[in-house]
Amino acid sequence: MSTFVTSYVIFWLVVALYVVQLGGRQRALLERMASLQLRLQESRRQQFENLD
Amino acid sequence: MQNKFVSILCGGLTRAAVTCPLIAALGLAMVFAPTEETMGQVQRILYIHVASAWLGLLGFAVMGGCGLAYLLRRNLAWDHWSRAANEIGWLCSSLTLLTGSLWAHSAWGTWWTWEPRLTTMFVLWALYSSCLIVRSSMDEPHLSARIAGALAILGLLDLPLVIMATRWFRGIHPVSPEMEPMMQVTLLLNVIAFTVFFGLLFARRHSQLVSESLLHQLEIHVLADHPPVVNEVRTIPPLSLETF
Amino acid sequence: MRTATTLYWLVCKDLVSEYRARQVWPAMLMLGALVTFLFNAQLDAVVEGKSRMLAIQVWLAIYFAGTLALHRTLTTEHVDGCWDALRLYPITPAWIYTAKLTVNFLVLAALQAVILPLCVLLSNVPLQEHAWHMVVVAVLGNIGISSVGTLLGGLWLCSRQGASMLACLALPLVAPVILAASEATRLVADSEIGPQWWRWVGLLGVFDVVFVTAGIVLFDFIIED
Repeated sequence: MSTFVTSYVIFWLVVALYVVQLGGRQRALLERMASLQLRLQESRRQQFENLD
Repeated sequence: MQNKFVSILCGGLTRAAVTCPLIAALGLAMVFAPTEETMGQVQRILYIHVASAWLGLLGFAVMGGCGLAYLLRRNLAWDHWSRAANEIGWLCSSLTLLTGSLWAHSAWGTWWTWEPRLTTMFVLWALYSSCLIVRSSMDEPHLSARIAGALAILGLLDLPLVIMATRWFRGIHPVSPEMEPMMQVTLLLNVIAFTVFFGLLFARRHSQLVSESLLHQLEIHVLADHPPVVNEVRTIPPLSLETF
Repeated sequence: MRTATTLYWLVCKDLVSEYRARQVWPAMLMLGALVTFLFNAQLDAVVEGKSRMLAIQVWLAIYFAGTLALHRTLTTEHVDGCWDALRLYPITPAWIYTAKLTVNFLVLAALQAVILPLCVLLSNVPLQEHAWHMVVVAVLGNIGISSVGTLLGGLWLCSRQGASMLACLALPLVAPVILAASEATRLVADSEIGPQWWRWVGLLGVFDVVFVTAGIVLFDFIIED
């Protein structure tokens, strides 16, 4: 494989790596959002249960 | 309904606006641009090399500008821009070093030479890296913003001096060689397409950073109002995506 | 007048404090001397381009040994409420920066006063033949390193993370200083005092002006609270 093709492949590989990492962070962000909401809902439910 | 349609349309348009020039630029660079006589195919590295070098420099200017704006205004919104520029700029300058090294190996027969632009690019990369290290080593957002902002401004002041210092050693890097019109068009298209593409990545990363910081504030807020239940039997299990 | 007196007391205080405690200077001078000594043991075997290698060694030794002291000048202020007392002086942060810069300049000058003669003694590279030119290079390089070092020391002071990273963060910034100063030193060693030497000295001068100004302006933004 010529140097030029190699360098194009490496270039896009590195960029793809960054994009994948970006996606991973986005996923972690969504996870945190969901768990925060769950915690809120859970604590409200427990408040009601305690009232009963 | 109307809104949703518009947003889908906008998303599609953005994607098209990024993808089409990128594909066209890649096609031109890899196939249609004329092959250079002395270096041959290897010269095609030029198109991605120059484009990413330009973005590396642009990223530093954006990072320094936003860092300055943060120091003047003390508004974290500026730091988010600066941070996103830091990451994208670091990526681009790394890519420049990488592609340049590969090109130098086949054109000059060496992976690295101490040539003005290479040295300048290396110092630029080191400055980006030090800003990244600072940001990752500190939790307090305002503190890391302050330090990284000041570092970015110092780096911006430093760059012209680095360029001057390194230029006075003799170099073999071509300054601006004569190019065929087709090559010029290809290079221009590549620079534009890459700017748009990395600009999109930049915007994505920025919005991610904004929501990360909002979420962080919200979490602190919620934790204060609703401390995690410890005495109850039923505590909330740590959540992962697999739960859904 | 009042500012000048305050500046004088600030500088005096740091020097007296160091004289009493001897916390940094011995270690710094020792490190600089040891590096010079070990390097010259190897340099002895080199025939060609000895002055070039000596020049870069001198400046790297000054930089790394100096870093020990550079971060120290501001971290000592951070403990036991010294910082509040420092802010009590009737001067603006810009002058605090100037005072600290002066102290750091003196520290590095002491270091250079040890390293440079030691190099001449050990390597037989004739730096002393153009002593005044060498002094100019040493002073300008010194100001360059200490202006950046003082500013970054101020940054690090806020972060309370210690100065472990100071050296690696400052090095890219002072790269032009190290390059220009070592090139000018080599020219002095080779007795080539000409337009080329003046060019490097000019670059050092520009760097000093830019970074001292930047330090004075930025220090206010950096420290606060």
